Order: sequence, then structure tokens, then C-alpha cells
Amino acid sequence: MAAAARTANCGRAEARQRLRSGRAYLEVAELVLDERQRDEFLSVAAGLAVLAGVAASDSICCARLGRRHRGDDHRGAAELLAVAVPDGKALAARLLRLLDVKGEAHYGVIVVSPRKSRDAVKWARALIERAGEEVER
Amino acid sequence: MIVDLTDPTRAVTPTLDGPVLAVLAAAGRAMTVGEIAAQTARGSEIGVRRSLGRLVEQGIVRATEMGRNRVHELNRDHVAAPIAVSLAALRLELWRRLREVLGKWKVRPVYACAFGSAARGDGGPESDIDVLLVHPPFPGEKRHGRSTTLRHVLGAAALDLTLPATTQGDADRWRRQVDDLNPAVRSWTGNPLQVVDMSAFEWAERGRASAALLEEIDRDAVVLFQPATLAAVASKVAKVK
Repeated sequence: MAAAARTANCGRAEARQRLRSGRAYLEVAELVLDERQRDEFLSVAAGLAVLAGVAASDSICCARLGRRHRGDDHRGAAELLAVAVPDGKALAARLLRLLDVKGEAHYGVIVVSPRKSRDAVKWARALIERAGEEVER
Repeated sequence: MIVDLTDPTRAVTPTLDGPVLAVLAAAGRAMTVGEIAAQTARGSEIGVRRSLGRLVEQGIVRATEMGRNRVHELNRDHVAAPIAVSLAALRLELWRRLREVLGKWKVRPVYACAFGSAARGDGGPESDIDVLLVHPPFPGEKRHGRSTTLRHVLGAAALDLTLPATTQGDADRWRRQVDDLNPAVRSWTGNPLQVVDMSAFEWAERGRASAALLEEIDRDAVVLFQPATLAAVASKVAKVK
């Protein structure tokens, strides 16, 4: 199975660690989102939201599957997330939406729109909250 | 009666059916016996196999052949499936109750979290439930040390902006709230509650005496009451301006 070849073993300790990282990304993303002095901050908030979402996905996969996605193609992470928990497909769809923002936020020359930036932070928050449940279960 | 927070299902059923159902309820895919055994809090692979045999017979677990493997999943249409889902969320119920109680306190904590083995889910049936409660500074409580790192300076500044003024009456009420939490948690779980009650100053300054403990607490913390976030502090600063 292709997905299995691109995974790394991990456990509950890593799940907690990735959740802590994700919460830190999200906290700063929310802080930056409210900062209206420069348009670029919208891209920064969206970029941090993507990192928070990926961390949340890793956390859920570590807690439930004992492995997480490895590598730069985070779409593989969404495939893994989809089978990690009963509502995995919905979570994976949310992660994929976040990843769509990634290119724009990290490398794009166009500033991410306020609406998209707010949505990205909202999707990341939902993923982090769900990861919290799995880690605390 | 004491809850084993590593495997709270033991409070409901002594057999392996409890943890096996809990693992399947939390899973998003069909699992092999080995995968289920690796995640159950107790029991051998042979025990898990026997339990699965019983549960398949009852119809609450579906078994299918996938290549050379036999895989199992919870039959979520079964009338007893919601019970399996509840079994998988017993620890979450404990955190929910603690959050609810702390949220109703008249004298609110500045921060509260569970930590240690109960938070990690790796303690035994005799384990205490460790909770850190950070109270707002009460009359007479003073700062001890001098903050040196930027994070701690910001933390101290954030506290000054967000902490409510308190009275001796608040201090007495706080003590009673903490006292009342003990029997509540014992009634919910059977386990003793072990509280670390710390002033907001001590928590923010992280002096020598508490730094190591707080670092350990941070590692496993299940947050029960959120501190004012930097965002909230920032908006307060904006209003002051």
C-alpha cells in the first residue's frame, strides 16, 4: 500500500506533542488574523492555520493509528486522516481545503483574501478541537 | 470502587468486550485482531480474538475477509452501538464535568488543567487525578521573583491586565470551591483528587521551586479552564489606548 510506505510510527506522546504545536500555531494565527495593519498578515494567518491543521491531523493519526504521514505531500496525510476516526472523511475534506490555501499563503504573490484567511483559521480550529478530543480520550 | 483511567470501561464490564468495543468505536476503519490488541488497554491477542468472536456473534461487530486478513468494525447500526461509543468517551466525560464545574465557580481560576497519569491515560486503578488550579492573586499574595525571559515578562503583563481584583472573601470562597471539588470527583470516579493550588503570580513567574513541576504539567496537560489568550490581552491593550 503506497500510503503505508510514507508513514512514520508514533504514539500518544507524539500525539500530545503535535497537538501542543498545533495549538501554538492556531493561537498565533488567531492573533495575527485580528491585526489589520498590513494585508500580508492575512497570508501569515492562513499559513499558520495550514500548519495548525497539519499538526492536528498528525496528532489524530498518532493517537488512533499509531502512525502519521511522512513527507512534503500533505495530501497523503489527508488519506491517512480519512481512515483514522469515524468522521475521518469529513476531517480529511477540511484538511484538503486548508491545503488548497497553502500554496497561496506560503508562496503566492497575491495576498490571501480576508474571507479565505478567516475560513482557514476556522477549519484549523475545528481540526485542533477534534485532535484535542482524540488525545484526551 | 475506583475507576482505572487507563481503561475506564473496567468500571462497567470486567471482560475484554469493553475495551475492544471502545477501540472499535473510536476507529475509522476495519481493524485486524493485532491492530485492536495493540490499542486495547488490557488483554492479550488471544483474549481479544475470543472477545471479537463473542461480539460478532451478537452482531455488534462485523467481520469481513480482506485479502488474507480478517478485519473487524463496529456495526454502528446495532441498537447497542451508542453504548460502545459512550465506552470510548468515558475519560472525555470526566474532563467535560470538570470543565463544567470550574466554569461555574464564582471565583474563577486563571488557569486549570489535569496532568500526570490521569491526563496521559497511563495510570493504574489506584492513581490520583492530578489537577492544577491557578487562582487569581488574593490579598497579601505578592510577586516573588523577577521575570527574565520575554515570554514571562509578557505573561506577567498579561496577568496585570486581565486579573480581577480579589477580596479576602474571594480567597475563602476559593478554598471552599476546591474543598467541594474533592468529593465531587471521588463520586464521579472513585479516585482521589490531588490538587496543586497555585497563585497566578507563582504560575506566571515560574520560579525555581515550581519550574520543573510546571514543565511536567505542560507536557501532558488536559486544559480544563483556558487562560486569557494573548489575543484577548491584545484587544484589552487596544481598548486602553
